[in-house]
Amino acid sequence: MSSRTADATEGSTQNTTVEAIRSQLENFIAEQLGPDSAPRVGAVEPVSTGRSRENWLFELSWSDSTGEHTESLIARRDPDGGLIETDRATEFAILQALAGSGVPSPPARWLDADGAALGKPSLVMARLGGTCDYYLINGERPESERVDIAQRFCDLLAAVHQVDWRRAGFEQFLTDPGVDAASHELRYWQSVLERDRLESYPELALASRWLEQKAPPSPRTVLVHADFKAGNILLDDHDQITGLLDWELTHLGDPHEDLGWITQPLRRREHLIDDAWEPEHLFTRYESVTGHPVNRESVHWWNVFSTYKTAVMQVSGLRSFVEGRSDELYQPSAAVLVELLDTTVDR
Amino acid sequence: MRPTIEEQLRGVSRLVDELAADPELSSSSVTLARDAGKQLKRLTSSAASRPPFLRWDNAVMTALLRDLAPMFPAELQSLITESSDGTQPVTDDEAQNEALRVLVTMAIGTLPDETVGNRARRTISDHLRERAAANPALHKDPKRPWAADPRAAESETPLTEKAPM
Repeated sequence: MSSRTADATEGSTQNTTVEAIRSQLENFIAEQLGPDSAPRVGAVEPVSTGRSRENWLFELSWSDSTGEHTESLIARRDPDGGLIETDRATEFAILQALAGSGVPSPPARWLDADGAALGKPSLVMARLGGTCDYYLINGERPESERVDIAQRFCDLLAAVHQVDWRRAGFEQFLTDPGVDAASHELRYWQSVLERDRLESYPELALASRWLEQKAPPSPRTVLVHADFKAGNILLDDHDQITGLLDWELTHLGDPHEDLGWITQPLRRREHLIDDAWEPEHLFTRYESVTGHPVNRESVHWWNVFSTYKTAVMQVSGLRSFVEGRSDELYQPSAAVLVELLDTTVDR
Repeated sequence: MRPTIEEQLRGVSRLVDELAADPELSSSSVTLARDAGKQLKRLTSSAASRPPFLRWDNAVMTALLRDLAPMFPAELQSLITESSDGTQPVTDDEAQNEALRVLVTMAIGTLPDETVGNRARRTISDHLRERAAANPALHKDPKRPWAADPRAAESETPLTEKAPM
């Protein structure tokens, strides 16, 4: 087969996939809105934001008794494999419960929990304006602007932690681990490691033991985003925050978990600015906004836990690659392993 | 035997680079081809270092387990003795490496909390740290501690195994 013929076949396959998804979405939305709505799904565009889900952008037009409507939407489908496996039904329930909370999050529209309509478990949500930039905090802007944005990111995290989760009904689909939040999360990621590992990792056994022995008590239960980063925050042209994305790992737990994720040494470039926005700046502002003290020792434990969690995700990614469910080769990196060894063995 | 595995990997890598440069390829196919090219280059650069790395790691882990064995429960001590008494010839460095890492992981779970356990954990951690720096699958230019280690003084030779046609 000539390369030209192969290209044409490949392009044709891709078009067929895109058209199939467009058609599936149109049928699925017609079921949700009713037969008289005559929904029309425009061109469907795959986007590669995030590493855990397939995201498809599209424009929807439909009609009802009040007239014609259009809306920009995004469909999030489970991939065959990747770094994490999470539940679309829970993510959908979280987005629904966040509506009216004051935290800018994508309005949830419809759920295909078992993938009967869209091929894989999926949810459809409204698209928010703005763009994400993973390294915004250490980008080209003047330092004062970057510090201002970092402070507003801190305020956004405080707003997530201040969500009245009991009143909003989060307990209907999330478990409150109470004072044992740290041990609860650790056991979850240990179970993921046991499920996905293809070989033994003595490095992670050393870390696991340290984490088990030093798990701190949780001072209170909050809604934990669990992947809070600039890459999940939308900013509009005027630098206003328009949305916080990727709620798939969200759970109830210890507020120090998000603070530990943000200040973990290996992701410093995403979250901190040398001298101008160090962990202490973040903690002080967080304390002033929330009125709750930050326990620095607890944050250190969650720093180490964040590195452990990253290693486990890489182990899961490796299994997905080996089993042919993902295209990207992950494996526990030297930086992650060395960081764990340096912080979890008493010297 | 020619072509060596490295020569074959370089050849395939060149073909994948040519494919990725095809202007008529869709953007998703270009991404896939580039990712495949990167993986092939990493594999090509690490292939020759893998056997001596494994032999070095196996030798150090074997010595380490033997040194620490008196601290472990009898059952684990027996497993360590079986793995290192020389009665079973080592024919597969990969399998031996996996087996030894299982033993080290088991050993970590049995170490006491106090000082003597801390010392053993430090010893294990020091080797794992060195291993992470030397693992050719994780670095473009890994450290090569086996070059100076008498326990694993086998030279790094090009691979000449014939690939399946």
